[in-house]
Amino acid sequence: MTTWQALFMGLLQGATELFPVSSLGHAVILPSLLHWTFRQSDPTFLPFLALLHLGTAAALLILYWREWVGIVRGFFTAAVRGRIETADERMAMLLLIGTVPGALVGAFFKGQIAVLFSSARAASVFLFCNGLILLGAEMLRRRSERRGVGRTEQEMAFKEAGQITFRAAAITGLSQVLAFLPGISRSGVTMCGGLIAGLRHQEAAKFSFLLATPIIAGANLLEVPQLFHSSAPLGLYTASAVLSGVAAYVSARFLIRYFRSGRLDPYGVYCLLAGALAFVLLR
Amino acid sequence: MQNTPGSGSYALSVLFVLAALVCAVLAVLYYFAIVHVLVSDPHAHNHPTHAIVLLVAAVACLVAANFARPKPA
Repeated sequence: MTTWQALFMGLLQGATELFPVSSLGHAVILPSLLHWTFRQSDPTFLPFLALLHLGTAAALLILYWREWVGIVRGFFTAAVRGRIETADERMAMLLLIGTVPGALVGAFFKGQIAVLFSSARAASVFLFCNGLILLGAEMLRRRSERRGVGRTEQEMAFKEAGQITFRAAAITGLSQVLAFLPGISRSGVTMCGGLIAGLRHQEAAKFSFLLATPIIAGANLLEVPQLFHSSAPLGLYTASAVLSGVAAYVSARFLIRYFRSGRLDPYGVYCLLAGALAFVLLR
Repeated sequence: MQNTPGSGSYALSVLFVLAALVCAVLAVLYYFAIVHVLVSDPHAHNHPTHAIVLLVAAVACLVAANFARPKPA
C-alpha cells in the first residue's frame, strides 16, 4: 500500500464510518473500482483497518467526553446500588443492553458472515439494500409525524436518547449485527432503530454514536498489537488513523447539526445510486 | 431494569447469577482455547475476543442479578 493509498483509506474510513453509508462497504468497493493492487489478505491489512477504527472511536470519545464521564460513573453507581436514579445511570444501562447482545453475536458469527459476503459485488448489493433500509425507516417515521407544522416542531414531538425503552435499545443494539455485511451501515441501522423507537433524528444519531464507541473500540483494540510484531510502516498507519479520527470528528459534528431538521433520505438515495452504479461497474 | 423498593424476584436474580457463572466459565475455556466452537482460527492458542465478550456478558448478568433481586422497602 502506498502512502497516498493509506492516507486515502484513513480519510475514507473516518468520513464514512459515522455517515449512514457503510464505511466497510466503501472500503471493499472503492479499492476494487480504482484497481488498487494492495492485498486485502495481507496480515497487516486487518490491523491497519482496526487502527483506523480506533481513530474513529477516539474522535467519538473526545466529542462526547462529558457524557462518557457521566455514563461510566453512572454505570458503577447503578450497578452497585441495583437501581437507576439518574439520567446518566439510565443511559449507562441502555448502552450496556444495546452493546452486549450485538457484541456476543458479533464475536461468534462475524467471521462466518464476513467470509460469505466479502466480495466487492456483494458489497454493492448490500449498499443498495442499505439505501432501502434508510428510506424505509424515513417512510415509517413520516407516518407518525404531525402534518402542517415546521420540521423543528415536528422533531420536538419525539423523544430524547435517554428516554428510549430498554427493549428498543436492545433491538437497536442487536441490529448492529447487520453491519457485518459490507455495505450495510452500522450507524444507519442504529439510527433507523432509534427513529422507529420514537427518537428525534438528532437524538437517534447521538444514541448511535454513543452505542458505536464501545463496540468500535473493543472490537479493534485486540487487533492493533499485531502491527507491532510485523514490518508494517507504523508511522504511516498512525498518520492514517489520526486522519481517520479528524474526519470522523468533523463528520460527527456535521451530522449532529444536520439532523436538527435533516432526514436520512439523501443518504438513502446516495446508497441506492452508488450501490447500483458499483454493481454495474464491477461486472 | 428499574424496580421499586420491595419489588423484584429472587428466582430471576439467581437465574442471572447462574448465567453469569456459565459466561465466566466459557470465557476461561475460550481464553485457553479448550473450546473452539464458532472461532475464526481453530488452531489459535487462545481466543481473547470471545473470552472478553463473554466476560462482559458475565458482568452484565451480575448487574442484571443485582437489579432483579428484591430490595428492602
